[in-house]
Amino acid sequence: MKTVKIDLQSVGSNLSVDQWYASLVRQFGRQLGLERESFECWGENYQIGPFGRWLSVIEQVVLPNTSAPIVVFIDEVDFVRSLPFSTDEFFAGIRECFNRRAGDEPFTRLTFCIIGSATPSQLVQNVAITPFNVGIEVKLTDFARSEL
Amino acid sequence: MEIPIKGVNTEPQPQALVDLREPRFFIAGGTLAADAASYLRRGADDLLLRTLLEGQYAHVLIRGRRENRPWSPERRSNSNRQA
Repeated sequence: MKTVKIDLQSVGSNLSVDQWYASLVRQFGRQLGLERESFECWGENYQIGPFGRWLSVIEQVVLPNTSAPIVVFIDEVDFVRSLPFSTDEFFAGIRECFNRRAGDEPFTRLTFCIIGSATPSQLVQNVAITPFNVGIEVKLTDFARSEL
Repeated sequence: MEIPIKGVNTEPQPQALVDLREPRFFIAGGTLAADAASYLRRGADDLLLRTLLEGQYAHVLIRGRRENRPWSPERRSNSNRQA
């Protein structure tokens, strides 16, 4: 099993949509040893939007070049609120990756884990976007007596 | 010869459960390393690990900000990952 860890706070907020998705691509590429290939794909798809390019990197580089399951941890997810642009499509994209499992086998190897103090649904502004209800919710409650 | 100091118990103390001088034990804020001696495992650790190993999407809801967060779930899950 391979893991990709992305701390959204460390990606920063003084950047453009392009730079934000490029940072995600770099994290994927570096952590999976596919940085060069990822940015080749990123460059080739420059006519489409940054979100689409990020998805293309997952679809055309990350999944074809790996065989192990990949878990992507998105930490400090609340930080999207500090960004000067909407990240609704980012959450929609994660949802899209989940939906793709139905007909696109490689996507069954890709799993997202979102970590933060808000649910993904709370972070999506646009009500037209499908509710993010595809994951298991792991609530971090106080320690139980038996756990101490 | 040991001079008894008033008010100080010089009797041998029972062995503490954890050695606070152990450098991996006390971490003043921030994220605990996966092998920190003070890491307390809880039900959510196992639930998260199981969920991800089954390939299910997960979102972990954390109360409060990172500074006072007593948990580093992604580190834990990583330390359990299989080759």
